[in-house]
Amino acid sequence: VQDAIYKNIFAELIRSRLPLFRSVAVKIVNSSADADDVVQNALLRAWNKRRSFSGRREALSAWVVKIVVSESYNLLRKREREGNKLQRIVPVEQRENPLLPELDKAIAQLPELYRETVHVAILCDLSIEDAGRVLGCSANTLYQRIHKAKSMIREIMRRNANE
Amino acid sequence: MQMNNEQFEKLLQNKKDQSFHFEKSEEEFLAEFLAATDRPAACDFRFLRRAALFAVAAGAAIFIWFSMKPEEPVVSPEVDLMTETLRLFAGDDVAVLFVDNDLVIGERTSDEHPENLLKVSLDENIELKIACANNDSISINSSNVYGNVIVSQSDSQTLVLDIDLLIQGRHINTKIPVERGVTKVEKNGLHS
Repeated sequence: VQDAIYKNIFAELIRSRLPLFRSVAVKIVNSSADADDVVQNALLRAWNKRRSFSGRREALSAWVVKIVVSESYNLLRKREREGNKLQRIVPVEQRENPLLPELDKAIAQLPELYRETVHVAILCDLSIEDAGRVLGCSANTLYQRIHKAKSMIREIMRRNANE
Repeated sequence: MQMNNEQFEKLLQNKKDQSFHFEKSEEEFLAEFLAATDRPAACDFRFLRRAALFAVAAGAAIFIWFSMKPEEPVVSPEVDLMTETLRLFAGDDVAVLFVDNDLVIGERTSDEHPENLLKVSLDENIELKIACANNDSISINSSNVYGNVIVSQSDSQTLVLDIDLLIQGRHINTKIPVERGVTKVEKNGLHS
C-alpha cells in the first residue's frame, strides 16, 4: 500500500517536474537521449531511498534536481574516462558559438552549490521564487548566489583562457 | 578572455536558449519509470567490488598484525576457570574443587586466602583441581564426592596433600607432595 502511495507521488512529480529535470540534465550533458537516461537514473535513485524521505513534495523535487545535477556530471566524467570510445555530442548552437564549451567547462569547475544555482536559477526557465523553492532557499539568498556564481564563472573562464 | 557584462549575459542567454528535442513523451517516460520501479534493484557491482577489496585488505592487515604480535604467556584454562570460580565464591570459608571439570563446593577451616591452585591426577581418569591455603582442611559432602583433603606445608616450597575421598563410589586415599602456587601434579606424585 505504501509503495502505491509513493508511486502516485512520483508519478505526480514526473508529470509536473519532468521538463525541469530534463532541462537541467540536457544543458549539462548536451544530449536529449543522455538527459533522459540521467533523469531516469536520478528518479530511480530517489525511488530506492523513498522510505528515508519524509519531507514535503516540493522537497522531493529539490532532492531529485540535486541528484540530476550530480548524475549528469557523473556521466560527463564517464565520457571523459572513456575518451575516444564515445563521441561527445555538440549541439548546433555550441558549434556556432565557440565560447559555449568554455562556459560549460567553467560551470563544471564551480563548487556544487553554485553549479546547482547556475543550472536551476540561471539556465532553466524558472522564476526566482520557483528556483528558490527547488533549491530550498529564499529569493534573497538566491540573488546573492547567482551574483557570486556569475563572477566565479567569469573568473574561471579568464583563468582557463590564460592557461 | 576579456568579456564585458553584456557579452557574458549574452553567452548565458545563448546557453539557456539551447533547444533539444526529446523523443519520449512525458507519459512514455513515466511508464518506463513505473516499469523500472517494479524490477528488483540492480545489484551494485561497483560497491560489491569495493567491499570485497576492503575485506581482503582488512584480512591481510589483521593477519600481519597477529603475526607480528609477540606471543603472550599461555595461561592454563583450568587455572582461569578456577580463578574465575574463586572470584564468584568470594568467601574464604568456601572450598572450591573441580573433579573432572565438575564443580564441587566444600568447607574450609583455614582463615588464609586459598592462594594455591593445584591440579592433580589422582587415579585413572580422575583429575582433581583444588584451591587451598598452605595449611588447610577441606571437607566435602556432596552427592558424588565425599571426604576430606588436608593440606600441610612441608617447607617453604612444598605442600603435602592428604587426600581421603570417595569419588563416584571409588575410594581414593593418597598423600601427594606438590609445589606451592599454581602447579600441576601427575598421579605418581611427580611434578610436571
